[in-house]
Parts: sequence; structure tokens; C-alpha cells
Amino acid sequence: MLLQKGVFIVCFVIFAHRMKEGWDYTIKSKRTAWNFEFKALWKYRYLILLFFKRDFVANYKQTVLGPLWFVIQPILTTVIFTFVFGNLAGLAPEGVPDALFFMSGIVVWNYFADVFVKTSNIFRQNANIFGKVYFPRMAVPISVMLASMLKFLVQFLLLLVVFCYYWLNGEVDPNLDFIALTPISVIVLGILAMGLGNITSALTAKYRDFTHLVSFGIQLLMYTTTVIYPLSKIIEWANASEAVGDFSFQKVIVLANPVTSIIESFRVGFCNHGLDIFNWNYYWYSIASALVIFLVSVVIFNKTEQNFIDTV
Amino acid sequence: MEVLRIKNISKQYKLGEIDRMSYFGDLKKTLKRLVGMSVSQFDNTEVNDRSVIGNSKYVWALNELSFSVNKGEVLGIVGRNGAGKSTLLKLLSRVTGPTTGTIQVKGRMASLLEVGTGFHPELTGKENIFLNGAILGMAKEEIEGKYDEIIAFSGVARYIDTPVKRYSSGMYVRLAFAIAVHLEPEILIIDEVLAVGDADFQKKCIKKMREIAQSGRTILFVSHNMSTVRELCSRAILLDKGGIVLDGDTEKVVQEYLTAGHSNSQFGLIPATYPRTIVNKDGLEIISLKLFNESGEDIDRFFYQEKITIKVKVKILKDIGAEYICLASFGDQIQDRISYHSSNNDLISETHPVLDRGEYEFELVTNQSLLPGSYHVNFSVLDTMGYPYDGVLGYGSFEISELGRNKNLKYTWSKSLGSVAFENEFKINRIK
Repeated sequence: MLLQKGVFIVCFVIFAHRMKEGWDYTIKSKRTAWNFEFKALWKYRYLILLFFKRDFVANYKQTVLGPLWFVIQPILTTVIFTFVFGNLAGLAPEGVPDALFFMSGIVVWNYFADVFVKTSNIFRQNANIFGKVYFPRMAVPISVMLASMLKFLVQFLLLLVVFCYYWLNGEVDPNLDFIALTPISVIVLGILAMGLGNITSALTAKYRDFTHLVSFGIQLLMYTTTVIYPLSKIIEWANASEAVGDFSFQKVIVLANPVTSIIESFRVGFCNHGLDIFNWNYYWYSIASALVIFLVSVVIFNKTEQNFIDTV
Repeated sequence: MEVLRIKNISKQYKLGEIDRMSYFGDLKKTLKRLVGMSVSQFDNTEVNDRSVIGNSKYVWALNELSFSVNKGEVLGIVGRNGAGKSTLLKLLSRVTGPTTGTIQVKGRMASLLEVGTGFHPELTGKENIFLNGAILGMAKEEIEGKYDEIIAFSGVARYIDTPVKRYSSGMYVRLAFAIAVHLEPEILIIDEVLAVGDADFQKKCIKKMREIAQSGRTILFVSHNMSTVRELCSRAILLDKGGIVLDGDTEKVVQEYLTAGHSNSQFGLIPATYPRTIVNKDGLEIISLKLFNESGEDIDRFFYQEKITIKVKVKILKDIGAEYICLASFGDQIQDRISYHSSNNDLISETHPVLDRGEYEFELVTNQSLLPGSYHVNFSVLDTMGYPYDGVLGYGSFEISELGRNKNLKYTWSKSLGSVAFENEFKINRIK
């Protein structure tokens, strides 16, 4: 009896195995929630490379200045910010060159905003290709992130040039430990922005409202982190208002923004400002939230990619 | 050997716009799902009949479809607009997921849905070959190995370093098709691409597709062009309203496609209000007119050189004896001229039947050889002086297909050369 059962089970297992072996892939109505196609993405790595090249190159085709636009934009923004928020509003802290202070924030924020905005519209923008041919959809946001990363690298070199200028003039004293954090920060920020972008892209695929929201929301979002003011100023302000008895909602928002601790780590590294209030817990918090958001985004992205073409 | 198995595939679509209402609907469903309530997905989904206004917002674009394809088969998928062909191809090419059912695939499957899948207009032809190849799943070395062959096949070598946005649409297709056929997938899906390109390129494509089929690979070919389907496919499937109507021999399916759904709606009773030419009043009245094909079906689509039978019911109001002429002609609908003409032209003969008061059916069998196109019918009954008792002009509309009932018969010339083909004999005599 037992033997019979055993033989039956073995036969069944072999049969099931064969069934699986015979077909290269199966298209089903229901997919599992977690379906990050590492294998397929690896197979399509050449496509990711080409998308990456396309995103990077196509932007600057038929332009005279070409890749120079990568550095013109942060330079101009820095000049304006230094005048408006530095000279007029006096938001920049004492003892740090204004230009270096603002540029370190702008470069980091630009990178985050670039990845987020570009990935938040993936489904809609690529509906044309997605509607005709299959490839792992995740290849697109990944290549977008890589292209933005390269752009960041160029702008980071610009920041280094500005930093070296002030350093050689003796106006700033770097904190090398924090500068060494840069690669980790870049990856964390990229994953965070791509995760948020993927979640948003699932929404923009069906309801265009979110496209409008993203286009101005990203500008407002900049004020919820420490791009144009130092963290020390917010904390000072909050302490003052808490002394009066108010709960400072603003401080919570700024600290809750995972980008804040990353910008702060840059500021400590390149401007030597804010080490006294730098809290490692917030840095860990940024890493953790980036991972959680990314994992959630994979599930949502995977769910959306199945049928979005019907509703885009 | 089976390379593709489709089992109970259905696809549900929602009609109408995506707006505030659907947003709240989605929200409600999501919330229900989150609290663990069951959400029925399929309630009130109707068969997809595009011409009928239904009660439900949901339709089945595909409804419980099952079939399988063997290795090396060239399968034609035919059907009217909205029958579900494109939906089926979308599911097969993994662009969108099925609502129910499974599709199992062996080997690499590449689809060529429309032109220039994923071409980027700003990139050059060369860059697009690599990008497109990669999108279709080719490795870098593979594309490099076939690069020269692709350019040679496409015939756009001169433009290869120009951005594809400057290409003509024909060049676009040539390049796109060249890449796809050189991908050498085990299963190739083609949707109407041949409709673009010029005659020379179409011939090249058909030849290439035949080569692909002979090399043991499988092709799924969707087209409205029955002569191409006939030429290429070993088996065909006829879809209608999301289901399979007929699956089998190409010849049968093509015939069924050309005749099915053409059962006559526009011919039949002629309303009293229909404009008529009547001079000789109160003689007779034409009640109905119908066309029949060789197999006796009441229809408005005929094969090339197929016999058409016109059956006309008339009511004779007074005894008109034997002094009448029946006149039928076919009018060319586009150029508005009469192109074919037949009657009981024996004007003087006393032999044709005397018509007393009563109802009669006239039956006229024409050995027509109209060229492919769309025509209408004129029918009148005249007295011997040529004054009509009753006549209807420009009635209905029927079509002549470019295919003959016989597989070898096919009309290939343009209609601009005339409206009628005569039976000819052609000889060449050497004089010197």
C-alpha cells in the first residue's frame, strides 16, 4: 500500500517535472506578487546598456553644447540660489562658502529628482514600445537610473572642482570619512528614487492626475529637505517654537524625508558643517526606507506591468 | 510536436472612458480586496459584438479560446475587425496578460506587431538595429553576426547612418522586418506588416517567410489579405466575436471568411419609398430583389468570375402579355458607370411567357466577370418601347473578391484598367 503510494508520488513528481521542462515559459492570468526577474534582466543586460546609452545620448542630439548642459544647469542654479537664499534671505550658515553649501545640496537633490521624475512616467511614456513587444519592463527604470547616475557623476565632478577651489584657498576643511560615504549614498538615493518613481508610474499609467501632481510636487518636495537651508536652522527654529509650547510639525517632516540625512552627510563631508547634529540613526533610517520602498515598488510594478496596456 | 498550447484563454476589456467614476470604482474594489471581501471580476461581461449596444461595460475580447500549434506550421489567423485577432497576438507576445487561462510556449517567440517595434526616431538605422535586436531579445554578438545580412535584406544601406525619423514609412518597415526575420525565433508572429512595403518587398517577405517555415520554424500570421493567407498558410483559424468559428484547412477557412457574415441584409424587400423610375404607370411593381452565389447562398460577396443569380419578385397589376423586357445591370460604385448588362434581350421573340395579373419570380443567371470591387444593382422591366413599368437603380451593394472559387484563379491587375474581364484567347504568330 505504502509502496504503491510511493510509486505514485514519484511518478507524479517526474510527470510534473516533465510538464515544467517541456515548455520554456507559461503565460498565466495570475502571477505571484513577488516576481523580480533577475534572470531575465541579466539576459537582457545588453538592452539595459542600450537604453542607458539612448537615454544619455538622445537627450543631447541636435544640441550645440551637448553634454555641457549637464554642468550648466547646476552652475546657474547655484548662482541664483546663492544670491536669493544666501545673500537676500541669509539662509546659508556661517563659516561655509555659500556656493559650496548650495551646490552640494543641489547636486544631490537634482539626482534624486531626476530619477524620480523620469521613472514616475515609465509606463505612459513607453506605452508605445510596451504595447508591442515583451521584455522585462524593469529594464527601463534601471537604465533610467543608471543614466541619471552618470549625469550625477559629471555634476559630482563639478562639485569636486568647486570644493577643491575653496579647499586650496583654505576656506573649508573636509571630513574625509563622510566623503567616503558618497558611493553608498548614491546607491541608496537611486534605489529610493526609483522605488518611489515606480510606484508613481503605476498610478500615472491609469490616472493622469498624478502626472500633474509629480510635475509641481517635486518642486515643493525640495523645500521639505535641507537643500536651501541647513538642518541646524530648522532644529533651532523648532526648539524655539517648542519652548513656546508648539509641536513643530515642520521639523518632523524634514527629518522624515529620507533624502535629508543623505544631503546632511554630503554637507558634513564637503562643507564640514553640521557634524555636531548629525545622527547616524537617520542615515540608517534612509537606507531602510529606501529598501522597503523599493521592495514595495517591485510588487506594485509587477502587478501593473501585466495589464496596464489596456488602461494606459 | 507542439510548440504552442493555448488553453481556455479569455480576455476581458472595459469599455468607455477612464474618469472619476472608474477611479472610485477602482478604489472601492481595492478597499474591498484589502479587507478580504470577494470581488467578482466577471459579472456582467458580454460577448463582444461591436455593432450592438449592450447592457454591460465589460466585454470578452476573447472568450475561452483553445488551440495548439505544431512545429513548422504556418498558421493564418483571420477574422473581421474586432474578432479578437490583435488581442490574441497581444497576449501571445506578452504585451498584456490574459484574464483567464494559460499559454505555454516552447522556444523563442518574437512578434512583429505593427511597424518598427521600439524604433527610436532620433537614433540612426544602425543604432536602431542594435536597439531593436536587443528589445527582441538578441544578444550583442548575435546582432553583430547578422548585421550585414540585415542591411542587405532591408535594402536601405544608404540610409543606415541617418536617424530613422527621416525614413519613409516603407523604409521603416523594410528595416523592421529585416531585423525580425533575422532574429531566427522558433515562433514568429506577424501582423499585417506586409500591407506597407512595395510589391517587390512584399514578394521578398513572402519568400523569406516561406523559407522560415521550411526551416522548421513556426509562423503565426494575421491578415485580412486572403490571397497572402492562401499562399502562405498550411492551416488557418477563423475568429469571430472572440471565439474560434473554424479551425483547419486554409482553403476552407478562407472560403468561410469570404462568405460568412455576408448573409444578405441589404438585399430583399424593396421599400415602397425607394426611388424608382416609372413611366408606364400601374403595369407592375418590383417587390424584392436578391442575389445568390453558386452554392445557392443569399449573399452580397462573390468570388471572381462566380455565377450570380438575381431573383426578383414582381407583382403584375395588369395583363401585359408578352411585350416586356427585363433589364439587369451592375453599376460600378466608385466610378458610377454601368459596367455589365444582361436581359432577356430577345426583343421580338414571342416565346417568352405571357404575364397575367399575379406575382412572379424572375430568375437571371449571369456569367459575370466583373473585376474585384464593389458594385450595385439596377433592375427594371420595360415595355417594348423602352418605357419602364418599374425600375430600381443603384440598389444595394455587393462585392467581387479578387480570389476565385478555384484556388488557382486570382485576379492580379488593377481595376483602373477597366471593370470587366472578357474571356480571351491570346496567340502569337511568327511572321518573319
